[in-house]
Amino acid sequence: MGAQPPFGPDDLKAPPLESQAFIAFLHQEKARRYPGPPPFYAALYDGRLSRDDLRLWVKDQYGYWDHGVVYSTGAIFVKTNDEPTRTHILRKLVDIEGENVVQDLSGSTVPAWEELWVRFGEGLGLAREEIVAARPFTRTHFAITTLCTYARYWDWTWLDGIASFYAADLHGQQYLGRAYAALRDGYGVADEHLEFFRVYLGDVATHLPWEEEALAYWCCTTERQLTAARAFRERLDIENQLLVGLESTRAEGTLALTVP
Amino acid sequence: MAGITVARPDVRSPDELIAELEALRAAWRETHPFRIREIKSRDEFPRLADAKRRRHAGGDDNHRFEGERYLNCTEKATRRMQLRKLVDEGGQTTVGGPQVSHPLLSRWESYAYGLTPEEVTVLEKGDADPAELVRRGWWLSMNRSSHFAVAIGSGLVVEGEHKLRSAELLAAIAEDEKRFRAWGVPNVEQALENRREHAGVDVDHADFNEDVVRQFVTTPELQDEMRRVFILRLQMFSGA
Repeated sequence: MGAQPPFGPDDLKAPPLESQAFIAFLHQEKARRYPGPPPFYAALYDGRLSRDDLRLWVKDQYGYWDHGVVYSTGAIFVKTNDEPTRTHILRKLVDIEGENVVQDLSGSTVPAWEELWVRFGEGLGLAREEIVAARPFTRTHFAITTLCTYARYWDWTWLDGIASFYAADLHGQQYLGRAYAALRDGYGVADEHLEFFRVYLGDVATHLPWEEEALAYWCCTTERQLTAARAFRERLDIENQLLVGLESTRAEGTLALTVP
Repeated sequence: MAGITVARPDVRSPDELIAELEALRAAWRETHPFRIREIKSRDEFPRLADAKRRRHAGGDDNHRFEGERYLNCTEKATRRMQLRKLVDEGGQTTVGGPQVSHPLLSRWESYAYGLTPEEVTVLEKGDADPAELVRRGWWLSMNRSSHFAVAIGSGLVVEGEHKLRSAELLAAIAEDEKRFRAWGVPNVEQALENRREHAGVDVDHADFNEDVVRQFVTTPELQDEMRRVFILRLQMFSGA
């Protein structure tokens, strides 16, 4: 719930969509709202980015991988009282924070997404300190803050939160998957520096099925479907807004506003 | 130098603070003894079942307060240790480990006393016991709003007590196991695993809690907050 007036009796008269029809509706909403990739990614796929553009991308998005995705996922975890769903979110948190957190149980040494993102930046010639200390564009900061606030407080219910995971993972699978191929094939980034993409895409592929299943089962009333679909669209907006500062800087040739 | 007074330092060293908290516990236990539970008659099962019904009513809140501590934590290494604890309590099976979640362990214990899975589900979806509502409401609020080290340190009260009493707790469970088997209680291992887990894993968790207190509860304000929370948590388990 953002600032929208509440749904009234007329809004809620229609019966809920059948579960698979609701999932299909979410996909339609994604295609309707964002029929193509964010412009920054389009430029990436077309080979129009310079090395400096790529480095700026790494620095600007570090806060998303280091804090935004961690905090927002944890916030939805806290709100989720359905144990099977919550268990999946716990697994997602382990993926994000690094499977090496549970190395004693799983044997995995895979580090956190943020650490892999830093290593990607190092592969592009950045120093770790530059990445970690970078100040993001103000629009990026606004997007991360909105994500964390909506996930943490009453703006999204737990189920809205699942819809937001679904949106982010669909978006990431589609666009970061293409970015991985473009970086490897078009920009000549060595495979050893692209572990972030392999790990992220592998993790997301394990989460989309349960997210879809949870939405199909729990969005069983008209109101739940309406609010979950709104959260789904809001998360798509956030994911796209995350790249606006980068794109305006690239397209206009002057740095967008930066967090002081 | 006559006439000059030296104020007693407001900040305790980590050792002094831990000792002070343990002294608070010891003083409290003089009037509110810690009871090592042993189930010496099967006639106790209905009373234990009622206690478990009150515990299940309104749902299990483990993920809420442990999750609040995780979200609250601004220090990355500690936050990830807290995530490790979430995995211990939310189910090591999630990542290929052996232990199931604490809510499931709690259910298994209840089944031994006569509750059914369906009854527990109904209780979890129902209203909480009013006293539990406000106790757990305070507990959630404290974990949400306190400094992360105080929130994590508050685990010293229960997990710390289990660490102190681990040998006695495990001995009592071993005696109960003999009796449960003699009484023909089904799934004895599952029935006792909740208590066994808390008598064991809580030792590691208590060490983590103490480490966090030692490292981060280092100002007069935080130490005061820690004392206050410690006392309130003791009171919470003594009928307040």
